[in-house]
Amino acid sequence: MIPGYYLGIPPKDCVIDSNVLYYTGTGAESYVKLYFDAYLPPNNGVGLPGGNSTIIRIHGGGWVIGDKSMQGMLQVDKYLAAQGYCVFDIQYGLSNASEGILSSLSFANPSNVIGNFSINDMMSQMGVFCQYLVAHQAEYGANMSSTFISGGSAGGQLTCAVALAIANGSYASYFGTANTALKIRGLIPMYPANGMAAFDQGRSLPEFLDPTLLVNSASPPCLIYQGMQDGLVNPKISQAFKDAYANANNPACALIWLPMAGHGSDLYFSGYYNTFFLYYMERFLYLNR
Amino acid sequence: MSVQMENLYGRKLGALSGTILCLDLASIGFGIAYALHPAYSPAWDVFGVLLLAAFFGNYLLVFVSDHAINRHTPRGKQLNWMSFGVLVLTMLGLLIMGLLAIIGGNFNISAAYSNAELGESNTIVYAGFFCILAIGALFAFYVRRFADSTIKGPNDGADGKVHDPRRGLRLVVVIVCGVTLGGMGYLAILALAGSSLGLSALGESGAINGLAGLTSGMLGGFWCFIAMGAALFLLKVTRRYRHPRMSVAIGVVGLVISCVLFTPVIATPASAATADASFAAAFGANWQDRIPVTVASYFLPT
Repeated sequence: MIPGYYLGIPPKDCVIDSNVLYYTGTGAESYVKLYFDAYLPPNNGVGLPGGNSTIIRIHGGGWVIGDKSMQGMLQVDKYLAAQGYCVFDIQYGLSNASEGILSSLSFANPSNVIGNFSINDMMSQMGVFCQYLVAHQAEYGANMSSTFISGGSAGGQLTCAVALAIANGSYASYFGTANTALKIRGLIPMYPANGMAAFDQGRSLPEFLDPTLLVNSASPPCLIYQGMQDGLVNPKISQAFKDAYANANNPACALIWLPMAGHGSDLYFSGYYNTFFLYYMERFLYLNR
Repeated sequence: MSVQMENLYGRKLGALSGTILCLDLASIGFGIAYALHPAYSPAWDVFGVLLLAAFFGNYLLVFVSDHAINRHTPRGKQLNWMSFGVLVLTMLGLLIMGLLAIIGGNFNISAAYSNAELGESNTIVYAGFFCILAIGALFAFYVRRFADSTIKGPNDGADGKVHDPRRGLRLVVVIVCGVTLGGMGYLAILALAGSSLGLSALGESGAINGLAGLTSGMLGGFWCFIAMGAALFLLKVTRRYRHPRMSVAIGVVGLVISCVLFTPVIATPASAATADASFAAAFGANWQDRIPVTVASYFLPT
């Protein structure tokens, strides 16, 4: 819609509970505190298509920068909450390793999330978040038996890793009670940076670094967003992830290509790329919830 | 040029400016309606076509009037200055509408927790939009009104290139517009070949390309009009030097860059058939039948 592109699309109304603490570091990392924002449906979601299904949103930023509810993600969170989903947009520990030009943007990072974290550490923190959610699901009215995970870039890689690890069921040491309480109905990675975490220097499990290794015939449905001209995450990575589904005889994976789109091209909420993908995303959520 | 030909050109210019005046005024009317009721309506599809036509039309009138109007008359001089105003305000308006997150615009609307705090950002967006259309309408109105009296005659040559009282200012404008057009050219290259210039291939410079590429396609609908405005500005300020090849080169480069940057606006909806096929292959050919009409009403329309 051209007018929306130039004049904006007004954000939907929902209930917002921001800056909820879910993780506190220990020992030398006791300064680390991780928070999330909850976007909840109006009127407790009664009569809305989402059925209070849960969506966990993970921001991008090369594992070294970024924050919860960044830019267009926030309006997407509101949009989905208004449709009856319980959306949780989370922080996770960012690495203090140098990632070239990305690290030069780290001045905007919240200081409470920085540490010498590996991908394994980030997975553990997300495990803590999932367990927190299981313990507080009644408080938020969230339906944990219908959970989706979504995120872009580094957040896309973590989306794939968390969703497939929980669906796999073999990583109880990371996810505890959530390993069985959460039922992953789908994952929505956007330009996932699978296998690109060079900063990790092999400290983490290979299947967490490249979640393509976790794909099997029972992997939950997947909807991928990929810009054709993404200069940061090679589009071949998304194609390889989709191919892994096909090779596992699992057809439930769609890859949506966005013509001439660069990295993060969904960040402009009212842009043609984001609204185009949102059309498929909201239908994917409804069909698989 | 005979008197009849002058009258003919005057009438044509009058008709063009009249059409563009109507487009601008209609877009202003639709803009007010959209501000009051932004929920999706088929009328907004019409509005989309009109506003793009108005943006393009304003530039077209600047281009045509630059060739047709005698800038040596007092009225022609005023129209010439006003046409610069159209270019400047259009480019600035687009910048504040979508691009400058720091001072407002659509990015801030996306990133605000509270919907009650959006007044300032909305004001900036609509101010930019109405400013573009208002100056365009005003220019079209004056061109229409004075078309007959300001049209170039047979002895009204181009500006002389010997005496240039504003040479310093002209140089600054040429540099600013050249850099702007060059920047837009860089974004156009990224939109065409971004992934080939990526991080792994070129190290740090690849990362810069990748980061710059964040906005190349996504904001192409803004960039294309800025590129076109910069090219028109360059054409206007260099025309007095009477280098036809240079003018043609600027025009062609500006047009190509603008077209490339505008392509995603058209290419994205055009890729729907491919996306539909991919979605159907993954989730069943009958997926649309599994969504009740009452539920679909919550979703984005096709």
